Amino acid sequence: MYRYDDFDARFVRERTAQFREQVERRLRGELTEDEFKPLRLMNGLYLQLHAYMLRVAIPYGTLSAAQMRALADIADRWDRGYGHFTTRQNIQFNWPRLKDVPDILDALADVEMHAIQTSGNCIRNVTADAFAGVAADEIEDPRPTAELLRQWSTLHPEFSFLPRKFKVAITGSPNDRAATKVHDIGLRMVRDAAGAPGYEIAVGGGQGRTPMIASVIRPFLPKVRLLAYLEAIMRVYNLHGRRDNKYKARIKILVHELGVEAFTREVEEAYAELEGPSVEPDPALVRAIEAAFTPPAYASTGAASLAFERAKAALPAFQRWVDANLTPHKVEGYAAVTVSLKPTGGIPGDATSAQMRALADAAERFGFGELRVTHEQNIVLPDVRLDQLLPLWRHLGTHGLDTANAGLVTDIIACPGLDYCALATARSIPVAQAISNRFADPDRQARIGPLAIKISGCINACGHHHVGHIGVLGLEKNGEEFYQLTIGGAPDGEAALGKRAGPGLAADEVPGAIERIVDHYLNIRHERETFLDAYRRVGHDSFKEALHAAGD
Amino acid sequence: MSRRGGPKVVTANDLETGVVVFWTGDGWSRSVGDALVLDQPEIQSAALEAAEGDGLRVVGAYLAAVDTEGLTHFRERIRTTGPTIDYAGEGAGREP
Repeated sequence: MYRYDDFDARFVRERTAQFREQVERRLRGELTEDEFKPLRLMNGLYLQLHAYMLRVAIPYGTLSAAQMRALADIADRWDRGYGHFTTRQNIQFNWPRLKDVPDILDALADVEMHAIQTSGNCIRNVTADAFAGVAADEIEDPRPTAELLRQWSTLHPEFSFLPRKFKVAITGSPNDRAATKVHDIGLRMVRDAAGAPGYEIAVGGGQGRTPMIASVIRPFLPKVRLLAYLEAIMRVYNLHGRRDNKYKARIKILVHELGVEAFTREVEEAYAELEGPSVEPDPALVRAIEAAFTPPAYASTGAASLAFERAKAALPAFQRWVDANLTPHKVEGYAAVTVSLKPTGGIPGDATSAQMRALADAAERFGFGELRVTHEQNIVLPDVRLDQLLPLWRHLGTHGLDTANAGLVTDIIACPGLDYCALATARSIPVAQAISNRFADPDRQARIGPLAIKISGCINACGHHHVGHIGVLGLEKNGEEFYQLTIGGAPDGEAALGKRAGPGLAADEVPGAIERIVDHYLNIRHERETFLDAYRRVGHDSFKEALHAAGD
Repeated sequence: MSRRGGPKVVTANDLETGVVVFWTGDGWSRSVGDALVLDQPEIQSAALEAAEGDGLRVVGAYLAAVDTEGLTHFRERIRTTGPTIDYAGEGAGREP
């Protein structure tokens, strides 16, 4: 993992000290709320429905066991004993007091963490494939690039007052597990004809009220040129991005209004002016960052483990968990484990302090002390030896962390919705819970196979409903919550936005409606055909008709 | 938030803790039952203006509609009573 250098450590401490003084001035009345609000937002502190909320950055979703324990301690000492992992691979604390926040930020700084770039019109915390560095299908670990981007973007004066917030996602694999096509900039590692790794650059994706899939403006960019090219994109955005209308300020609107060709031309012109050593990072710095992501010392155990095979045969529940929650590892004899934060009927993404500590313990006992947060609101233990999977599963089971549903119908993404969020128009969590309870039967889940349900409590789409295989959007009309379903969205591969499937539904109608969609899939699917493949084969109307045919 | 007519209360978030509070006529209370119900638009506006000026104690003051049953909009009721779900920290951790 990357460790702070002196510069990182100093600026995070300075920033915390500065915010402590700002909080004191606010509490003494020397700053008005209008003056204070942008300052607290620059430090990740929001005011939600019932309380303040602190959003802590987890850069590219990677954290150490020590950092996870620190988050648990913060939850216990200054919050209510739990935290919420988000679709941005961050964690949110829902109940901090204003006067305690500087102490929380100091506690974060002690473990090389902060809450900077989790709010405001800046380049936000960079997100990445949660299986970075271990995925069997990966070209290269994208995290050295993500860390370089963090260093490049943090406190960069040109990027601190952008027209609007700006999100960058990166994957090192051909299989996009970072939803790069729905980010302001999506970076996908590819190889050129000679086999050298570089990036495909996509710009102008996003969700929210105007969802768009990003356009590729550079099919291949050599790795060393990345910062210059991104700087060129940011310059064009800073110059032409709209500041008069918040709803038209994201770069996706600029790309759309200028047209991809004209936008690309502007970027290429800016890039031509910028190219050169003045923008590119010092190779020594790049090497130092890369060294921080050197793979751990894997033990060569061979591909098979007799103990593991025996355990699977003897324990059907273990077999089910193995089937759903393991991802192939690039090193033989290892697996990457998804720990589901979606127990049946639970709150997606929530973890108690005890669970956070259990996860930290698991990372140390069964791995190399590292964890990941996924944008599906789960946790990944990236390096577990096959013969350690059974004891790990037992350990997780004692903490309610052994749900066997990664990627299945109950692995639901849901934003906090109106149970917490001041922007929400409807609740998300109770709807997720009702769907989860409806599909609780593990055999049925296995039969259905991969299916991503994603729920947002307003059009800002934090719950990624636009790219859900089945999306649920909570809205409000005349003082009542109602929900719109979309079908056919996908964050990966051939990324797609879901299409509306008829009029809105009351909350208690949603599980039944989803059941009708799922049953239709089961009726029409060919052997081994996923939900998304079946949908693409038969088309939207087939599903829409099935949804409404039942007449209830 | 309500722009419609009818009785209103002034609500805000406590500056130090962020918790939801209501204007009682001579201070702020965490209980909506203590809220002073304001019928006349001019009085509502004056009370809101005063609340907005009370920046040492509260932030984000606004008017919320009420009827004989209490707060009329479900958003305001959820905001007042807290998350509608059984969450891990409910009743467990410290109160704000």
